[in-house]
Amino acid sequence: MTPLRRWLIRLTTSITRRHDETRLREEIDDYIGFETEANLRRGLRSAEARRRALLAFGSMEAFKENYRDQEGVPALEHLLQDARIAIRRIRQTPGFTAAATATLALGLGLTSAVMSLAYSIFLRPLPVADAARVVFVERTQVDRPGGWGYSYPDYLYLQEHARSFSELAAHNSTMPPLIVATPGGPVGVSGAVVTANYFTLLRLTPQAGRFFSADEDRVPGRDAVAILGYDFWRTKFAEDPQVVGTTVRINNTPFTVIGIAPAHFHGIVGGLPNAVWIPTAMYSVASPYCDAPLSRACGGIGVIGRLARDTSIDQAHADVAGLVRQLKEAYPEASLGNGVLVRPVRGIRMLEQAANAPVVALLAVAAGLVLLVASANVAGLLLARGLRRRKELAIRLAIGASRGRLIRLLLVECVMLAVAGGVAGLQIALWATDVLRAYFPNVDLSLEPRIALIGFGVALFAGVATGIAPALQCTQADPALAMKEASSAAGRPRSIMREGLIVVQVAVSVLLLGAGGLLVRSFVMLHRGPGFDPDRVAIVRLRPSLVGFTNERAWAYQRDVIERLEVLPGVLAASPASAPASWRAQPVTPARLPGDLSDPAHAYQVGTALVGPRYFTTLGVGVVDGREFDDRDTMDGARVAIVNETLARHFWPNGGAVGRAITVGPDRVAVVGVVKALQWTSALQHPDPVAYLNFWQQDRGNRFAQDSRTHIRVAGDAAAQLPEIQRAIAAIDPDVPISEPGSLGAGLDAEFKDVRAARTMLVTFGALSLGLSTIGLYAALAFAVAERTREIAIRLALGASRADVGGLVFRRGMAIVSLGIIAGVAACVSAGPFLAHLLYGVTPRDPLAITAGPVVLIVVAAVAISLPARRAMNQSPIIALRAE
Amino acid sequence: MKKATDVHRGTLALMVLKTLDVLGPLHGYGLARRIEQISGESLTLNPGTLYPLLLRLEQEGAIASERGPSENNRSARFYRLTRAGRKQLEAETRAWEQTTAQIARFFAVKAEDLP
Repeated sequence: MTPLRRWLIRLTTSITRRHDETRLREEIDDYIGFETEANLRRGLRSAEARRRALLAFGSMEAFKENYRDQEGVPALEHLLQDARIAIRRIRQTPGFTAAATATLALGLGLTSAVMSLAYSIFLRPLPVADAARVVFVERTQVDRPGGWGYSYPDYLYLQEHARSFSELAAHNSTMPPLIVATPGGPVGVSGAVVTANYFTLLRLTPQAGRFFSADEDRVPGRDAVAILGYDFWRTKFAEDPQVVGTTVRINNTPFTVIGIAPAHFHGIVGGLPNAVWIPTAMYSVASPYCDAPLSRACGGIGVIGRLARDTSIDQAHADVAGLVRQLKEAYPEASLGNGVLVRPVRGIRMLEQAANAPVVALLAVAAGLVLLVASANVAGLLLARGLRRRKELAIRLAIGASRGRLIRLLLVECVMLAVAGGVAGLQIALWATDVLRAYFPNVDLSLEPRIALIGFGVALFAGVATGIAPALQCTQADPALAMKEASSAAGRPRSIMREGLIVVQVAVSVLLLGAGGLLVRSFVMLHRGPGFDPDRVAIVRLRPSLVGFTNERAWAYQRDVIERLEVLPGVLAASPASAPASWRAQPVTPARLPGDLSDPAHAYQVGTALVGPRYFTTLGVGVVDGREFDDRDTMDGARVAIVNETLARHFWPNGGAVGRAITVGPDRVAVVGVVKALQWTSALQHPDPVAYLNFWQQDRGNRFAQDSRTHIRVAGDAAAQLPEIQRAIAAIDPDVPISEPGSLGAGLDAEFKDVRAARTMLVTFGALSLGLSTIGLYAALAFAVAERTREIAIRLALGASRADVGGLVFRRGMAIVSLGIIAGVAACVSAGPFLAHLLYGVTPRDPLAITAGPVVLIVVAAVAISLPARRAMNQSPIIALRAE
Repeated sequence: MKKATDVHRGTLALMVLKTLDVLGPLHGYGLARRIEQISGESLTLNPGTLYPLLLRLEQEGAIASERGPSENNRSARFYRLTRAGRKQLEAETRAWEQTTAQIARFFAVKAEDLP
């Protein structure tokens, strides 16, 4: 207790700075008084008595110092003193302070925000109990990346036989939008079809109402019940608890809302938040692909599981792989993939594709580069300033400050700068998170506290680490020499040191910018998009099947729509199709050459799509060989197909596909054309083989064949033309529902949000690195030129012309910067091979990536040298000379 | 003569507490002289050692101080033992006695005494 009490008293004394000076003085006076009296009693004369008393007392100042140290906490008091000096110092140099703080703040703030985004998309665990044991049980194709899904009977088989899971559930969370009639009108939202035990497997509790009962998922089509997502309920149903129990139309079928999902649950596929859940027994209402979505003929079912106690992912993998092999043997004709992947439920589809894993590495490296650039620039600024402060520090040393004390003073300054940078950085991070949230409305994005904390720690570390070097260096100098040097115009060793510093700073910036440029360039190459402008293509969904048209009437209607659209002003071409161009071609069926009698289980699997005449003209995709479908290809004519290059190369590696016959599923068709493979996202991804069959030649026995996704190419912006297009179609028959109007571009954005996110991040990082390097270089150069004010004044006073002096300063400055750039480019070229495994489509010596940074830096350098040089020359020489 | 700073760490505080316990309130100068006197002039206590110690003991609550009139019409700060200080003194006295008793046995021991 007592030591604590003592420390409290000492702390209070230090903080309030209330040292009891009167008491100290009194004690000294009393002591000396008593001693003097004692001496007098010994018979000394009064002056001598007092002198002896003072002598006996010893050093008065040492006594006071000792006493005061005991009163308070000296270390704390010195620290507070250092802080006061540092604050004064920071106020005196607002330019430097602003540059250093801004560099740190921008570096940390934006990096934290973007890393939070990456975390939210890729890494955040599901908000469910014991999320680490919830896994995706995916089916894969070994020769092609990506999950392919199971059929519902496959799922039932797994559920019955898998031993590694306490529970398995099925879902399809990535369906095309469901149209939900809300009080504010129909809305297209992402919905999921799930088995009744989906929510119980995840161990969630409903916000309101209840989840599905097992019985509600038993009889196909009987129980039309739905659960709404919390955000959807909040924004579209005004958070009204009365919604539970009412009827809401989904895809024109009345559903009873039985519950609301908990607030932070958005489904299990990251980046694709579900707003509605319906049981698998109601799958047919939502399925765009299959008439009997629960049959073995249809895929698209995803399986999730909760690992049984003491079961590892590897054990589960072996278990499921064995079961999938059994399925494959039992149903060789089914398009079941031959691989299995069991992985934790987190992350987005991009991660599911092994081929895209480099993207994550790319992002991590880019974020690291930004932090390096920021740190390098702050270090440069601090070093430059440390050099300038030699004289001040020399004076402090000369009048008795200890080296340790000086280093502490400098460190306190650095830490204060770092804290200021960190606090400003947090503010920027919050602000940037808001901006990013607007860009990614579907991502549950908030600044991740852990990331912000790490950022703050890095700021502190950067401040201290970069502060220590100049502190040590500056306090080593002999005070007398340092003072003399500082007052001379430009000490030779000092200017070499400072100029060397700028060379290094420029070189490091060029190296880092070059690396960043290469990363951005490879990303662009990796994801260069479809190769045409998807914003020029409008898509509407037409469903005559919903209004009970006869086949004749429906087909006539579809034909009328195309004819009417193609004469509409601004419309260049129109074509019906079975699905939007941005979707993966479905269903996948075996394709074989006629006469191939090998085991169908090993047949080549190809995606299929139904498209009308002029479909590829509508998209803007070139026909490589042969022709498109046209009006000759009717129901009565020969069955025709167009294949993409991947498929053509597989069967006819030497070309000449056009005119050949091929069997796609049950149909024997003649190839009339070859088109380029559509690559929407990644150039790394091997494009799937696709056979395009003629929309007008499809089997009309199926009522849903009447429906189409009609693609329309317009001259201007598709979104702007949509209302007019919809009016024109409605004029043909107002009864047919027109739904999901949108541009192909918007569809791609929704489908490949992850890619867009990654691109935004990389471009932000690139711009950020460039911005930080710019600030850093400007500050360092302006500083260096301002240092030469005195020298410039002397030259002018001695009669040099302004042009001469200006040229001298400029040439010198640019020479230094050029040296740095040469060194940086050399470093970049030699470091390139280390990056090679991260690069795609660019060589490590890509000239554009390497030169872009230096060009900007040279412009910045020119400005950074000219402005302060002009200011220095405009100053009167007298004032400049006296200013030191 | 030995300087008080040379004596075993902590013993000076014990001396101060014991002196105040025996003689009642004293001012700093008087305390210094008394301690020297009790030690048989084998210690000198200078103010640079004494006053920070008094301050520390007061911060710890073992002693308290207030100004009051001294002999020969001067005023001075008088230090007195508090209740907490008395307890501390008792505890430290016991500990000290134990330690010295233990050490004494070691000094007294001879090889032939041990089995």
